[in-house]
Amino acid sequence: MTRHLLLALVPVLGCSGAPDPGPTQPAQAAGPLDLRCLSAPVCWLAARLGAEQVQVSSILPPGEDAPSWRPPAELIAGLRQADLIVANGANYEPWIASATLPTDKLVLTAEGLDLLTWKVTSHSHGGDGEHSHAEVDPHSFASPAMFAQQAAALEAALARALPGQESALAARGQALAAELKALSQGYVAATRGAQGLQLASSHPAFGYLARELGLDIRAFDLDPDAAPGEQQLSELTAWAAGRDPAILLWEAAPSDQARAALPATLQQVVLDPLEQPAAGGYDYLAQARGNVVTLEALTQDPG
Amino acid sequence: MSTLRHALFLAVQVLKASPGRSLVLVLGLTVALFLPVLTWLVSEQVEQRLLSRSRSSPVLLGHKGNEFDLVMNALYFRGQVRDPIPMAARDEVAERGYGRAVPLYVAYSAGGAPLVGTSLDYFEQRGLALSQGRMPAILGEVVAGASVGRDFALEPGDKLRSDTTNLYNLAGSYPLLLRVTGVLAASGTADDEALFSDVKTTWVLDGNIHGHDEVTRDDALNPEAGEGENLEATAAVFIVAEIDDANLDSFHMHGDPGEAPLSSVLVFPRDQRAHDQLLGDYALDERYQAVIPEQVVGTILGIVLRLRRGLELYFGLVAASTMAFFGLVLVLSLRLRRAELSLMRRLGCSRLTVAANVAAEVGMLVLAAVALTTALSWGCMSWLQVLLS
Repeated sequence: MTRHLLLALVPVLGCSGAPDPGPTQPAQAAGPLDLRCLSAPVCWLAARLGAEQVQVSSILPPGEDAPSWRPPAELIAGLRQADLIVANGANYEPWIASATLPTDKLVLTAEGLDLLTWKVTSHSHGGDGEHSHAEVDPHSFASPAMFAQQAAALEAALARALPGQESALAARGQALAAELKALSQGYVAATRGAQGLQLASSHPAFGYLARELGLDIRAFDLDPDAAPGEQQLSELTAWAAGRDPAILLWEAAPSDQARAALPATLQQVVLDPLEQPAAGGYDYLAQARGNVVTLEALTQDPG
Repeated sequence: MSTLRHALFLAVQVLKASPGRSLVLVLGLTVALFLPVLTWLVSEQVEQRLLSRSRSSPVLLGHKGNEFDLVMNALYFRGQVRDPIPMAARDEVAERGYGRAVPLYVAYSAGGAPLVGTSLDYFEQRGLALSQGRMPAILGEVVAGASVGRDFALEPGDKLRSDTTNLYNLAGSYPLLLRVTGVLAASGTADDEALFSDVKTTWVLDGNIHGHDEVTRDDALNPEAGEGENLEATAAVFIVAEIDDANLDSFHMHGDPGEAPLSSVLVFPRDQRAHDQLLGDYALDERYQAVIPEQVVGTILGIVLRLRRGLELYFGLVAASTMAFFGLVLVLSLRLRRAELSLMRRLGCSRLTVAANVAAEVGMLVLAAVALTTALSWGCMSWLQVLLS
């Protein structure tokens, strides 16, 4: 009988008197916080806010585009050693959706913000009925106001990870918020003359900026390195017809082939989408101020 | 001293002269001692093991209902939780700042071993380390518990197919080929008997996350659907059965991730105050219950302990009857040896010397039975340890 009792309990017991790990919290390592960032804008934010208290490492290889890059599984597995993992979120680093990351270390800075959606498609299969796929516009950092909210989210996460550093973080956070506010005002002043203008962009990277500034920017899917396809060209030509000025914002300098293929009436301007570092490294404020100057010149002399 | 030495010498000679009787007496005594001792030892072991696992799981959040099912599923990966809770419940616990909230979804298996969908926090909280390989990093990857790894001779890079849950539901979720990325070091707990993956991988098994060919007008049942309208796929759409680098990006989720199912949420409160607040906040909740596994296991143990008391009583009676039988054998043996004992008296032995001789015989029998009981108990407990770990 005893044996029967034992055998009955074996599946339940499959265990021993292992020590009780008990409630634990992430240990605060000595030295700077090991922060891994997943895309350029948030790496810049982390370095600005964390300063010397944070060791910022970007996992995005130079030249790679965060929305299209996928880290190898070994690199993802290694992220659990970090103290904090900072991402833009809003699907800007889409590989996160299928990755196993430590949830309490992951900071999705754009989470909870008022995000734009591009298009919604739906399909159905199996017995679960119809389901939709809404594509979120991931370029939240294009808008200084949105980026300021992302900075606030990161500041809060850093404050939790760096107890005792709240006042220093708050001081740096306030300084950054002031700079972003000034940048936003610069954008507003630069585009005051552009109100009512309808702009086009080669890539839907400026949606949040357009919303913040009250601009109407129609996004086309154009490759700066290649001539547009027939359908793209006809759509763009139809859009440009009757508009004066008709302005196209490129996210990167177009090739001669791409530039020449477009209607001559189209004014073509390069606006930094703030995704990649400019020459000399990534500097969000400097690169965005460059955009202010570009927009200012454009609206002062649209012709 | 010489009396004792002589008594022991004579006792040995007497026991050797009747080996059959001596053996029966030793075995009878051994059985009488061994059964209650083993019952006590095993029940102590049961109690310690059950309590140890439950003590390392401070609070468990689940759907209102059977708390025994909830605890057995979350702590020992046994049985099913009838009503899952949404992932949003886990997020709510985390956002309220009670402490670390670890999702658990135990609904599937592979090769007969339970597949536990969880987060990386689980390994940290349970103190589970790798013996080889690495932790899961993407959808479709699993890490094996020590026993599962040993039984299946698993190594990083091996593949395991998830078990079919419903053979007759052709439209249901399909088995998925899981890639083993590592094997955990033995912990001596139920974790050794399971496979672990990201909770999102178990949602793939549910069908909540899935990958398939793009649904185009060519393979839609309603190709006439307008721009932005729903395209209804035919059964010809290929559902991915193994996740690899080529199809990983095609995986997407049906609906809101917050609605995805969990069996329970293991909560490790940051301090006693958060622990009490958590229990208080969920005490009146109409959907969820927060239980203390130690208390639930304590209730189960109450049943086990009542059983133990019954067994102790039973074996106590067996022991008493065996002792009575032993006494009877002893008395009858003394009667049969009356002539021998009288001869000892006539040879000049005092009553005390005769009594010492008989006592030495009984003492040696009892000593042999105790030694045998100890050896058997040690052997059984060692076997039990091997069996359980």
